[in-house]
Amino acid sequence: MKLTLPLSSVRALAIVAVSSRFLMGIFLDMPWLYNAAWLSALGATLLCAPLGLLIDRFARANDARSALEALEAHSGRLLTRCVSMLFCLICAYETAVTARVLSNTVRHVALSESSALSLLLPLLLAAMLAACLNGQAVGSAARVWLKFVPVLLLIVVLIQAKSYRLQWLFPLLGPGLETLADGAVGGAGWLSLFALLWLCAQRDEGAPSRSGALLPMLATGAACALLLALLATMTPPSVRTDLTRTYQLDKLLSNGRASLVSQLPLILLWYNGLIFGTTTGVFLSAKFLQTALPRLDGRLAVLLCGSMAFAAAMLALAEQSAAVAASRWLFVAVATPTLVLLLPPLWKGGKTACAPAK
Amino acid sequence: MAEMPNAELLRSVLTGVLTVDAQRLRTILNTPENEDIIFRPLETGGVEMLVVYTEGMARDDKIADFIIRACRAFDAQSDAAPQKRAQNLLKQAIDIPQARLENRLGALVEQILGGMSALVIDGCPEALLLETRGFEKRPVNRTFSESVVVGAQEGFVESLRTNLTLMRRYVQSPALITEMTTVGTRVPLRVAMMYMKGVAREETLAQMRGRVKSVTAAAVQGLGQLEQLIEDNPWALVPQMLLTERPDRAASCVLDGQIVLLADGSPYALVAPATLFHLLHASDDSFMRWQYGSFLRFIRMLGAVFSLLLPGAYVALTLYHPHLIPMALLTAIAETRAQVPFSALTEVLLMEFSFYLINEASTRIPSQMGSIIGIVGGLILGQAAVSASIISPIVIIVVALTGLGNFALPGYGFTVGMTILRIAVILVSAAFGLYGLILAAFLLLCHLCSLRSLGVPFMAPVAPFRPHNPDILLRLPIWMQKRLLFLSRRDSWMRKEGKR
Repeated sequence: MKLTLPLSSVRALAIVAVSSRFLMGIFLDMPWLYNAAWLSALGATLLCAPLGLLIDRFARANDARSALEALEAHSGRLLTRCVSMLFCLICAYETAVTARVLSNTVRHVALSESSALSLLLPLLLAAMLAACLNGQAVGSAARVWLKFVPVLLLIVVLIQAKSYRLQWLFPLLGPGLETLADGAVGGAGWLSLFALLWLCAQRDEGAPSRSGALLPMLATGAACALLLALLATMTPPSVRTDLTRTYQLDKLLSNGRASLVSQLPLILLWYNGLIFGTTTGVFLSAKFLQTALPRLDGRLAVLLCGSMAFAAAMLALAEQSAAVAASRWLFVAVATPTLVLLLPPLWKGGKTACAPAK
Repeated sequence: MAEMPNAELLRSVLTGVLTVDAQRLRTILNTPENEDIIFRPLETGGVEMLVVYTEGMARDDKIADFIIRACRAFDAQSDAAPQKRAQNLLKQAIDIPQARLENRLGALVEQILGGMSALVIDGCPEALLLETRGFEKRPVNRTFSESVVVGAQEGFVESLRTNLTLMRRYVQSPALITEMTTVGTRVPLRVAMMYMKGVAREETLAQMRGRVKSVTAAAVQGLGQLEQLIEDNPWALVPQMLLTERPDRAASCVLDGQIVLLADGSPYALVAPATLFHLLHASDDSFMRWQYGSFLRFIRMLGAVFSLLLPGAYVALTLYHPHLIPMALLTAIAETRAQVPFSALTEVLLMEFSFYLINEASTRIPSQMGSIIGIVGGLILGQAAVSASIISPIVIIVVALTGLGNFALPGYGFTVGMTILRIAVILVSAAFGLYGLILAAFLLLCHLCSLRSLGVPFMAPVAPFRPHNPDILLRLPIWMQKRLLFLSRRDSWMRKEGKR
């Protein structure tokens, strides 16, 4: 089985999966950004913009069905496969982190006595099953889910409408420029997963003529920044509270003032976002694994990557401290190989020549 | 595979020697054991003839008036060579409009069993196949499972010929093509494939022809079995083709570029390709003003969501997330459940099972005894179960809403699929609460998105997106519905005015 991700499905999948990872990373894992987290999100978006632009330019200059195929042609098989293997490991790790956060959430919200194993196993099994249905199915499902997201978000925003205080956004720079910049670099790492999705995507018949990565990436980053700003207007920044995921999750779900009943739409949004994030992670890592080892069957690749993510999620590797430490290098780990692979063909001119032929 | 009896004979052709041909036909048709196969000899102008037909399937009066009488009046020996006798009879004597020459024994036998009459003539290596079908059949009647308030009320019947006529009445266009074929390698079933030329896509047609042709079953009993043999994913719980008993709906599908299959003995049509939204829409949505149609469709969609998720959500919320239930409701639920000895899961499963039992029993029970179901269902299972503290009233409300939601869906097969899925959702919700419910819904969504109907994505035109009319979840005004369905050819002549 060949794993494929049609270009017509990639945008919805990227928006759903990456936005949940982005929000999760900045809001849950970096509570020290306090109420200025939205600035880090904006910074991350700006940092990622060149990456999106580069992918768009590369895709436009190449006729190949997917960017990965074009890369193989330009940069050689060995280099592309090595980079694919690196991306595979990155995606598997990100899957583990997302799955771990979801299992933590579920334990916090309801199943406090369940073991991590009993919560992670069904999640990763579901993610693997969905990934085995291939990119078209997962992408289409994300497209359907994306239609419900604005409605649920609107309900959440309206329910808590009385809680917003603009003054809680101040002081604007909150924890200081250095911390915010650190947060922006971490956020850029999570947002750069957009680039990986576009690298894997293949042109298909139903794809719209302009399925670029840059615009959705910027829109997602900006929308997440707006959401973080909205969250920030609901509680005053408190520098003396604990900085764990659990505390932040509590803050996210209730904001200390919303009624418990109104958590339902937020729980739906949160759970579904993370489930899509986990599935996308499994699929992407399997896709990169299959690119690195082309003879590997897609289902086996999914099984291997899902198991790898499961093992990582069961260890402390996926907990908050490790995830934050890794996030500082994530952007570099994604952007550097992408630049190394994509820039030279563009400099050479790709399909569109730099100068008109004489 | 063992060959069917007389396979060699069935592949042979007429010899022109009446005694030999008659004997072969008798052997194939197992006469005299088969007492309803009639071999009626006659002689005219010194030429021996034999009329072969099936009693009850063919009309005796037609045979007497238009075959036997016409043959007697015809001088078969008058001029032509013996080989031309059948042709001359056809041209000069037989008044039956639908008649043709046939020399293959297999084809003759197939048509005789279908109600036509064969006229075998001595000296002639070709027989005449004459249209004399006149078997008893149910008249066109109201539909049983797809009732509508506004719109046509007639439904398909078991006769293929009548169904074809109904389709022709609704779509009076020469572009409506009917391709006849048979399925079943041993006992053939006549199947008609109808589509609009220049509207249905060639690749879809080729795929449908290929699938029907590739059926290797010995016998296919109706469209229900044919659907199972040609659908894309036999393991899926939702049907990927649409079964409708409404000719107006089948006609509308044909006009949209879909393919309609009709078969002898099946009082419905099989439509493919079909999407999830075809299964959720009812035919009177489009006959009513858009506001009414949209409102009813919205109610139906809500019914579908209730049908699939409501009992699961109830189990998840009461078992794991009571804090998400408003306090007043939570107190009411707790009070009603105080005397019930079972868990919420057991209660729901018990009630669901009782509901399916009533449903199944009411389908099978003779109509004269129908009122018993009301007494048993309403009094014993409802009131008495609550009084005996076996079931809490809230569960009865949940299951009743679920059942109503289920029956709001137009397709019967689809509702059964939803029921099975609902049980799975209940079990997962009982194990993992909302987490399980959302996981199950996610997997189901991915599964639906992976399905295809005759190669077309099942969730299209929503996911993947295809340009479409505002007629999916809600139905906007008819003057906004300018596009042809995405299933039709892009260069179709049915494209409406004002569009490219």
